[in-house]
Amino acid sequence: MKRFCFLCANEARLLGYSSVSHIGAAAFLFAMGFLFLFLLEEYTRFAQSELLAIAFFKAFWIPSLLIIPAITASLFAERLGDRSFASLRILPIRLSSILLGDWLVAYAYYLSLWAIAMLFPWMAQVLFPEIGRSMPFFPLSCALGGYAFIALSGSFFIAIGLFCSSLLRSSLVSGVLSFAFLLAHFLSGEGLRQLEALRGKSFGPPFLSPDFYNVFLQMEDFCRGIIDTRVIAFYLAGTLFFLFLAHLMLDRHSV
Amino acid sequence: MHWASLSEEPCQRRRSLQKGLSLSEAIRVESLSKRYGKLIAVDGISFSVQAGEVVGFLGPNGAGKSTTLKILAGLLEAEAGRVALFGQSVAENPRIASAHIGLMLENNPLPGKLRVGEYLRFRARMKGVASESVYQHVEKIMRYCDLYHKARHRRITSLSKGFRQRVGVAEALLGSPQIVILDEPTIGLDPHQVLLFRQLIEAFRSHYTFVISSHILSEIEAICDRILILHQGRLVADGNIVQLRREFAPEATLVLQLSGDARSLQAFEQRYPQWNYRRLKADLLADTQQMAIDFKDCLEERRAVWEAIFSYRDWKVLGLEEKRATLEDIFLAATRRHWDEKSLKG
Repeated sequence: MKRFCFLCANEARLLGYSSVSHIGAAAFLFAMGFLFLFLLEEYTRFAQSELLAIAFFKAFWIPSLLIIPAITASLFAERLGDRSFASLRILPIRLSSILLGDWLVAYAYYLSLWAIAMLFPWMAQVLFPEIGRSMPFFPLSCALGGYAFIALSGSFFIAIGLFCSSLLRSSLVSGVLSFAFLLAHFLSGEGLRQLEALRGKSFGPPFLSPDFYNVFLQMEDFCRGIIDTRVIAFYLAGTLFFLFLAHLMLDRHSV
Repeated sequence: MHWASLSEEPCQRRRSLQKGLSLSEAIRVESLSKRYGKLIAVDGISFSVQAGEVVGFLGPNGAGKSTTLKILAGLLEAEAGRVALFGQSVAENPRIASAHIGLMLENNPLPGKLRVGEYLRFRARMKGVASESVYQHVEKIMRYCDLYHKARHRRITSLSKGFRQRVGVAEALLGSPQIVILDEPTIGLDPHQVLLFRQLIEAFRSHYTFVISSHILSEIEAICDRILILHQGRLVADGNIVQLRREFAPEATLVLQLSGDARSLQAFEQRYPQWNYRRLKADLLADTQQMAIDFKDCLEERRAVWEAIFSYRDWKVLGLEEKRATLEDIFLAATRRHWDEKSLKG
């Protein structure tokens, strides 16, 4: 356990030295700030059917597409490229611990960025108190639900990113690959809905329902306080699955 | 370099760790085999290394050197055979490899983003150095390897190849292992850096058991007490340079610069027909001749040749040079012999 903590600290240090992760973080925060200002302006002009908080969280996929590849691409691909991953393998620590350590660090970084992004509504409330008085701005229950879904889906997205990073020796190509994987996941719900419409009938079993795969509906449910355990099971199982695949891939790279 | 301050700690630790273990034998390898698919990387090799020895691993590319070293370090599993460190089997107790061995991999892969000090502290913690003594331990190792003043705050990516190799050696020495394995440590170094590296190994010679793999034969010859030559996964030679010379290149040559006519040389050849003679060149104007005498490289023969040369009255010896088989000659002879044996069997 002590070694695992040292490993995590070192991985966090390496992530801190990575310029790509800083650029990704800056782009993420800029995108979230811009999005929030845009939504705020829209909500002050016209009455909207859904809460600003829900609309804010539902746009989570845009910055996630930026930040997940930026954080994860360099974690393994860069080190496989310059062979410094081999120097980790000769340490008295299991490969699964290395993988878990990297996942934890990347996950904590992702969640901390979202925690900073959550300060935007609070800052707006402090700077423009008159807006907060006229409409329910960012209810705590909605913020907690949205953040919980961010945390749940984030673990899955980071695992996808790590898997892509373990496949290749180029961080650029693995970044593009994880971007493609994430985009496919975000669009899968809508894609299935289109396919079902073309087919004229549903796919059958409930787990193939397009709504089940629709991340935007999932986010909306979480923001409204509707917790579907199947969604939780899906993301946790997906996380484990991609971590397992990443483990297999890393194990194939000889020391 | 700061060799004078070499600590007693590795020796003390070794003594305490070796209680109850075999005191003399650091490594024992028995019938070790490893395949990669159809390719036989290591083919039933056996050898042992005594504690405190500096052993050189030689072999052409693909001979199985790195694979053997990785099996020793517990990074690869052997398909057959047994590896024991201080009497304990690595297969039965995989942790002993990381406890006893410090390893520097081929090409010395290091994370370029980290600074030398923080990288070594991280490695020391991971190798189980107590948290309260990590700074002290790393500082000491950095001083040994001449990194403390020149490189401790520098990022690894900005270091020269020579300093990177030193970081690799420093990393291998962290945690005071008893066996240090260095895979191609002098590759890419300039002659000055190679000399510094040699001094580094010399300074640690009595404190650790070294296993060094290299392509640079002169380095192995200069540093190592014993040499193992691998060829196509087989151990084709094992011994110190004298033993290997005796086995693979038993001839020595004495090149003489003589003052005398051709007849006196011919008379000498007829008097001592047991040796081979080669006339190299003659300077008729200066009345000097050059002749090479090939003889068996052993003490008795050498004494006989020297006595014969200096007791012969019909010439005057102006100069002489003795040429013995270099490690390169031995290496080529050993690999050629293995190749010939294989061809005969095939």
